Amino acid sequence: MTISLAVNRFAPELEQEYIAQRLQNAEPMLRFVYLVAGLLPFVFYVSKLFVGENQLPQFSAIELIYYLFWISVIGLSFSSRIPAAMPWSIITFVFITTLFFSISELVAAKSILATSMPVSLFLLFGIVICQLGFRLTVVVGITAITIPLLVSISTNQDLHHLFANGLMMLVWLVLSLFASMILDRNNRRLFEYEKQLMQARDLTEDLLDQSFKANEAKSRFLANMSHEIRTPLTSIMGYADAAIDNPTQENLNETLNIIKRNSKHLLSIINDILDLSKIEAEQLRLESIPYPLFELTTGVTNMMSHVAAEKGLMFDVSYQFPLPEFIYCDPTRIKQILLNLTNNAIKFTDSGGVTVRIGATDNQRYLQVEVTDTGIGMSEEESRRVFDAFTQADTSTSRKYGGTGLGLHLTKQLVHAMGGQLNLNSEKNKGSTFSISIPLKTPKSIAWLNKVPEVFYTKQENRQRPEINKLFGHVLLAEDNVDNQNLIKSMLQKLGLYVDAANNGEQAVELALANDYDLILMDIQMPVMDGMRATQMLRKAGDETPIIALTANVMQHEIKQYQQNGFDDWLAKPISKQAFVNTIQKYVRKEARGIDLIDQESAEFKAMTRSFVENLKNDYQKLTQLMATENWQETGKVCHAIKGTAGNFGYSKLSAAAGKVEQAVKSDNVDTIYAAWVKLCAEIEKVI
Amino acid sequence: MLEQKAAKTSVLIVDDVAAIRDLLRQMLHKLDFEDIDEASNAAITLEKLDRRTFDLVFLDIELPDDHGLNLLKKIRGQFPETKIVMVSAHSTLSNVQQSLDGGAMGFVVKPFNPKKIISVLNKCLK
Repeated sequence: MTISLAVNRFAPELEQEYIAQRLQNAEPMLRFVYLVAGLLPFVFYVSKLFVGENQLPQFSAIELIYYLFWISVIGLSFSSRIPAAMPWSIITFVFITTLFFSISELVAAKSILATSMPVSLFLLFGIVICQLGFRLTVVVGITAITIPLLVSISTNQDLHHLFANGLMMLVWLVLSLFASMILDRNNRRLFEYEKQLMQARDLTEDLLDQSFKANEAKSRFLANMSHEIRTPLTSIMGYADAAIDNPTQENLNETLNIIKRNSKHLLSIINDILDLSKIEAEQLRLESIPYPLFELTTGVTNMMSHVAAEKGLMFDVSYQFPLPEFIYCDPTRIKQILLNLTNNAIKFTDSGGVTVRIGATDNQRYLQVEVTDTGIGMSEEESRRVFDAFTQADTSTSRKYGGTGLGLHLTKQLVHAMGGQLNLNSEKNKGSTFSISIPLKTPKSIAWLNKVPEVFYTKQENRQRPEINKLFGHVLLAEDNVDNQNLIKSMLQKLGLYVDAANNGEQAVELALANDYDLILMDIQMPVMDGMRATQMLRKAGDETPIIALTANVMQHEIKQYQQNGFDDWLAKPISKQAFVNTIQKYVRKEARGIDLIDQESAEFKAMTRSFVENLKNDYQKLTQLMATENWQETGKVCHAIKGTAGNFGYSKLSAAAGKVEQAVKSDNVDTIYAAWVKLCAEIEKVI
Repeated sequence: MLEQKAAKTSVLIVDDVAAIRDLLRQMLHKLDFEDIDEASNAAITLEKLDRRTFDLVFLDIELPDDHGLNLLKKIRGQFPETKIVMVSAHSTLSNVQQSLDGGAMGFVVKPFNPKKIISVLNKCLK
């Protein structure tokens, strides 16, 4: 086993801390050594009485000085103060002690005192200096050896005690050196452990603190959430109950408006919460597409100027040119930010107006938007809190102005996500200025304009509501909730579409396979068979009809899942009219047309039809006999064949009538069978 | 895509009603299928499959001598390369489910809808 004596020093900062810690640990020991060292000369002095000397020896002048030095050392030890820095104090002490013993040896030749005292003293010193590192050990050792030697050389005397002393000091030096090296290594290791332990403890405390805070924030969030959601729900349910109890009341329209307003509010809360949870889960993906800047700004300002005008407020937009024609951005999110800020400004302003200033920084690296209002403003304290989730300046504010208290929090998060900043300058009762600056990225070789392009001057209303063309097509709606089914059905019918409804996935699959739909709207959560499984099954059966998922779960990973399972598109519930129309339009045709694989005018088809009719005559005879003998099973089989064939030749009523008989025979109810049979006979007669 | 593959694809139509077979044959002709044969029951079907390979079989679920689902299993066992599309007047879920579980590549309902026939062919010939 080899013992490595090499010492790895720490990094400078840590090394300093290590040395300081070592000195601190050595201090009490040193104090003890000083105390013992101060008392020892007296002990030796008194001991002379017991070794046969009848009389205590006289003090020499040099002894007197030395004993005074000891008395001061004892005093210092008791007062818990170590003179000077510790290493220097030790060196000084050793220097004075060795010098004294050497000189007193020469002058008084008091051999017992001179030899035994340093030995006991230095053993004790060894313990201390070993702790303080080997450098100090070397300095102290050399001092202890050279002083007696120097004294003996300078007096030119061969003093054998002194020489013996020096030799002993040399041995002591070597031993302490080794001991201090080993101790240093161990101390360093201990120091490291201690450090790591402390770090680990700090980390644990931090984590505990964090999780506590996160938990608290979550509970607060949930409590707020449930309150925010319950409030509009209470009105919705209350007013709906009132309307149901008394459907003829005069102010029904007003009641419905209240319900609608509260539903909208609820929806905005939920949208905000969804956005927020996306941001917090770091799932928010920002697009970066080139988009006309003025389309963004005029879109928002035109809309908001109406809102301001309704409230009798001035609304002013000013551009600081030049501004780029296109910028890279996420248009939806930028609009959301601008809408939130302007909407807030208008909401909290009762008189005066709102100014929106749009510009770029001089270095063209940031887009800056400033929204200034002359509204209620906020105190400094309120300004600080206003960006927290679920906080408005105070509770009376939310009662008066409404709002989720999420808007500004969300806006700030969005601006941050874009790498920008949102600042607030507000004075109570004077108004507020919210300013954002977001990094400006423009496509290369893009024009910087000095005025708003003319195309954006035109009134937006004309452009915002494109005429919805009447659509053509047949849609299957699979939705288990009756109210939703009726609602969506009427929306589809208003667009000019024919609608079949299914109450669950099973019905949806059966209907979809048996009919030619242009589009299927499929609810995800349904009893018997859910929308996901139904869609999978249709795709497996080789059906390519476009399917749109109707779902409340529109997180990115969920949408991906829909696409993977065969859905073509999705619509978020509750359904927004605009998104609904836009999505439906993508899949149904704007004019009636069909695929025709059979040319019905062709001679072949006519021949096939004739052959079918001939066969039908035979079947008719056969059926009449079967009915007479009440052979229901065979009747069913023949009717089944007619049902499957007749439709292909354009006899859909005959096909349906045959299907009715086929179903009726299964019931074994003779009345039903005959009723169906009579109808089938009528249809057959028509054909033949 | 369908047109290119149609000419190279051999199809067997299995149905006990001659009119249905004729109709499907007409439709496939329009889509440029050339190699088309017919069978009116399970026995003939197996015999024809034994004699030569078919790429695709349109198989009616209700046949006079065997149940279509049964025949499906037999064909899947003996001629695993042959793709099968089940044909039925009923789109009851259990029929569809059993057909797909039995290894059918598609399910079409009578009366035939040209669009559905095309989409099933698209899936089978992919």
